[in-house]
Amino acid sequence: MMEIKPLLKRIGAYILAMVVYFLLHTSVFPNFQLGGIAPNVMIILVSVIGFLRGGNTALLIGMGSGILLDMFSGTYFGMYAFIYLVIGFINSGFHQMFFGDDMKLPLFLIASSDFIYGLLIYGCIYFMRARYDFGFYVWNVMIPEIVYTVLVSLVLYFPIYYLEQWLNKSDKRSERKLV
Amino acid sequence: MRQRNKITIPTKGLFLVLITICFMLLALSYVTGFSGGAVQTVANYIFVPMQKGLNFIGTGISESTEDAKTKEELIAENESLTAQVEELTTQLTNMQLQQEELERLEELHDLATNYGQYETVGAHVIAKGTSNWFNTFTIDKGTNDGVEVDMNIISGSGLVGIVTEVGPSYAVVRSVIDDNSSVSAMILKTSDNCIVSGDLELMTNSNMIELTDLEDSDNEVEVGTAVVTSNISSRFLPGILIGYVSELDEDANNLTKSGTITPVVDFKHLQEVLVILELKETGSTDDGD
Repeated sequence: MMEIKPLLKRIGAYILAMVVYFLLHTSVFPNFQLGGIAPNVMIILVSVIGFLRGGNTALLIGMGSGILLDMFSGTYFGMYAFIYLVIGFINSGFHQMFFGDDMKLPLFLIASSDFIYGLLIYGCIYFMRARYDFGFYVWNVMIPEIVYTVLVSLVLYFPIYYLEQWLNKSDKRSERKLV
Repeated sequence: MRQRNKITIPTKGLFLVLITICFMLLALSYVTGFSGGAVQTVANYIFVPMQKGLNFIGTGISESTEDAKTKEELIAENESLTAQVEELTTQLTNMQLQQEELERLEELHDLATNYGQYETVGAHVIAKGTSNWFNTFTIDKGTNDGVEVDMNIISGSGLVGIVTEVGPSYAVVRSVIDDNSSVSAMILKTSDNCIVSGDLELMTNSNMIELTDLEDSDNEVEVGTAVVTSNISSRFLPGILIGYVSELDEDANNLTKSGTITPVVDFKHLQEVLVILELKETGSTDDGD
């Protein structure tokens, strides 16, 4: 039978992480904008949990984070849920490829996720509104956001990484106890 | 690859289910204006207090780097400010006398529709937008303070935006510079109608918003003319200042003009705003803007 306690611990830890990263995303980093651009903190969380943990967790974290943003965004409810769900799904595909101590793949995945995020918003909303100057949006919104997000993720990657390690360790511990 | 005896849901299957849920949410919010329901209320009590605190600290830090002044500077500033206070007090008394006279005259003329007379409530901006693509922000007043969707938001100098979503103690505001925003406006001087819409590209390049569909056959509108919300708008109260015309060109059809407006509100440093606790009464439910 599945052990309930480690599962609850895991859910609690993820919810806490989502709350913290959401607050960073909406209330902390917008005060430190560079050239009118704030980093996309939520995508770091979704992307990192996506390739560290993979599977259904990635999808649920993605969709949960998206719904959280939807509630405080005032645009189409469900849009962020959809975008972050897709991001979580894509990153979960890299779960098998990831071996802990290398920083290149995480940074590359975070940057690509943010680029896909930009493409989705441009394609679903701006393109539909007849804003065809794609190059402008790439250079003035997407690229600066990616650069800032990657810089911020040099710091914000590690809390999630250690949280995940801690959760895995305590999972194993409780398994051993059962045996 | 341990514990294969667990009941596992295939990731791709779950992905399809969740995608379907997302589209259902989108459809639901499009049809009914749904925006979270009970979850929203829970989120309200979890996040709004924390956002308030964090934003207070955040603005504190970003400002404290700027206001590191020496004691001498402060003393000098204090002296000049005291002098200014005296000067302004005298001016104020004069103004009050004139104001009273104006009110009497306005009563005579039945002209009491200035937006200074709307009932308002002050609010703090507690979270800026959720994305660099949208110009929305969250304020710390909600249904508990009488705020409703479609109420207008002003700051000292002019129109800021409109409430698009409201929870018990927070509300989401879409500002007039948002790419999706469009306001039915008019030229103050001539009462000619036009449309003012936000444009991310224009805003990034030159801090301006777009003005279109202006019929100005007499060529009376010039650069610097004030643009206010129109009285035919279905959601904006009439006569709120939006900005000043900064460019104006004739359209290809030779009938209308379009150009740009410099907004009066400083959207980069928005911290306190006023919510007008009054909805535009239109008698119909169409959204003409």
